[in-house]
Amino acid sequence: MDAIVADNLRKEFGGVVAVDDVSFSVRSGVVFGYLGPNGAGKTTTLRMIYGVLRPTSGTAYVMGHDVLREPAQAKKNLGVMPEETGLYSRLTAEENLIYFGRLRGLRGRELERRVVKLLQKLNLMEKRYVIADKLSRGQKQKVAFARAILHEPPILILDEPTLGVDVMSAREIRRMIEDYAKEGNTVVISTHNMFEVERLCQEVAIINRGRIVYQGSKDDLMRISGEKEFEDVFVKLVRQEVVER
Amino acid sequence: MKILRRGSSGIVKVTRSLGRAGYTFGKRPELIVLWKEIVDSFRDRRTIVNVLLLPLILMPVAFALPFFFISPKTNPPNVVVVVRDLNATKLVSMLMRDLPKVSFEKNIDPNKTILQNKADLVVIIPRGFSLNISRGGQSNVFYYYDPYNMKSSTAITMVSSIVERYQSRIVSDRLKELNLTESYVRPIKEVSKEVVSKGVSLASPTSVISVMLLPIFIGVIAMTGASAFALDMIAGERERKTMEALFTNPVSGTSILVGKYLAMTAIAFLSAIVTLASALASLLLMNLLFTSALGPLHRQENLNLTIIIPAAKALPLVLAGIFLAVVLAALTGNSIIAVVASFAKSFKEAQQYMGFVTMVLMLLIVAVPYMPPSMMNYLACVPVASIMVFVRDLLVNPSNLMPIAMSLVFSVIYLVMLLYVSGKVFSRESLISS
Ligand SMILES: Nc1ncnc2c1ncn2[C@@H]1O[C@H](COP(=O)(O)OP(=O)(O)OP(=O)(O)O)[C@@H](O)[C@H]1O
Ligand SMILES: [Mg+2]
Repeated sequence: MDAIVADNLRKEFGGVVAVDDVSFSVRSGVVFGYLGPNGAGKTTTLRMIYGVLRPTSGTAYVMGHDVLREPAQAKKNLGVMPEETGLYSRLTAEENLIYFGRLRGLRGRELERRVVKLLQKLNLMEKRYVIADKLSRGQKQKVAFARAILHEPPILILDEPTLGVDVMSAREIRRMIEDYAKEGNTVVISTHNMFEVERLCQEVAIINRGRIVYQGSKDDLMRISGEKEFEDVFVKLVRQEVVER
Repeated sequence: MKILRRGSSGIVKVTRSLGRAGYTFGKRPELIVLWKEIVDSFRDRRTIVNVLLLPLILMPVAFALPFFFISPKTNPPNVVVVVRDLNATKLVSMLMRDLPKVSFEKNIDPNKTILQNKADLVVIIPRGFSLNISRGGQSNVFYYYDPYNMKSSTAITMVSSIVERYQSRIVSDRLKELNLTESYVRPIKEVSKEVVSKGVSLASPTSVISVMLLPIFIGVIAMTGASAFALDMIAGERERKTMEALFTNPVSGTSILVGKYLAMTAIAFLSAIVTLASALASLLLMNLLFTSALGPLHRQENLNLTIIIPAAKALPLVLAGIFLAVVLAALTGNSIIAVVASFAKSFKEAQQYMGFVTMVLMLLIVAVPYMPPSMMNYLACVPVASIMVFVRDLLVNPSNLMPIAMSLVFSVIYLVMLLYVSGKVFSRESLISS
């Protein structure tokens, strides 16, 4: 079964079409790259999928659950790292994790074990009792990442998870994404970072100006276009789209 | 230094165990939200200021400070007596004995003395004062005072009560000579009786003040406490993008809203305890400082809650009512502000709305004590004002349940309506359309 299906998702903001009848599906167990230039509509698409933004038309399915009709069922299968980390600035790193962990049904020793394990893996132990307001941008990203995978969801949606994160921390996050995917989970990741795509993703969709211009396996894409560097393929596709219009 | 750099500021340390409690506190999502909002609020300077500091400072200032300035004991008026009749020893000795701050002069310019603020009152006992009286005639005593100085009028009251006593002594001497009684020249005696309802102790200066001020404070503190919370509730979460992350969890908007209102209630409760304790302490202080100076007019009062709550017998009822009123006021104010602020496009705009709404709410609160009692029936039907009427009736007349029930029912109806509206507004946030 497909983990995620986007079914003619469309979003207009006061007449401006941000996402233009987008359809794609993500097979279970793959790392799916959602790519596109700034303002292409990546964040808007993902927000509709993880159920915080009402589509103008169309819908999405998470593990077969319609996000509009069964939002709770859909959300139960998801772990989300939004574009804006959205940590509570007066809560400590640990408390931010406790809050979401508890809302996801975890509690007590088990929750604490997971919180500590994740903080250790992400080199955040010394920030455990520090309020989010006093964390650097990269540290905030890492806490938000930990918060997304704390309840070990089968599907992870990450909107530019390594934005503003230094090389070392980005590597930590990437390694954790890889490990997570190896356990048979599904990851949807929106990114600008071509290295990340080449390294992590098996399948990609490319969106430009609200429209999907390519969907398929990363390897197919490289083969068809005959380019060596993934970045060049990306630029070529986006240009082509611009010229066609 | 190291601790500072790590950013674990004092308040975080103090509330750390509160944070850890989150691992096990409650099972339902509402209670988890309650935990988070309490921790969050205690880390917020505004909560500390509004809930704890404001009542602690406001109460003594409002109750005790004015008395400090007008009380003849702590701050007695300065009376200068110009004695031009050296035989007026009886009156002079009475003035000397009974005025806290008095000096005697032979010859000064009374106008200058008052204008230069050297005295609050100049009393002149003119030449021939005692001679006139001993001959059965009438003598003048002159008061020079500043009509704009409150201490001047206090001084006149004090001096004239002494002169009055001296006078009645002279009158009774004169009547004795003529074999007449006092009732012959004073055929009417005025007798006043305080009318308060059953179970309410007689009015004292403190209870009069508390009936005036306590409803205002309950309202004002509940509102200021609620306003910061209310602003954060929707507009703040939206601004900091925490709302979006929160709604990626499979919890309903209603659960989150209920949790937030529970937290608001808990904070309002705490604020009520601090407010009442502080009001009580201030009034006790005021009593200790000023009772004796006010003399026999002022009953000595026992040091207990009845000095702020006149209805001694119904004390548990009144106290319960006050707590209920605080919670009602906090929740009502909170939901009004939260709903209005949620319609703002930006956080700044929300803040501006909030300022305006808070002002309107304050007007409704302050209006109640200044309106004549006949207006109370109408005010009982006005949102927010109804809560203040409820407190007032409870303090003044706890045995008359009809008006209390009426203002309470109206308050609850308005609150239910507001909670319903804020619920609608909030669940709109869980799946926003823009
Ligand atoms: N809440 C909103 N109201 C109005 N317009 C919006 C809103 N959110 C997004 N847009 C517009 O929709 C378009 C797509 O935005 P979106 O954030 O989805 O792009 P993106 O692909 O995530 O870009 P980036 O790489 O910069 O994150 C943009 O033109 C943006 O201005
Ligand atoms: Mg984006």
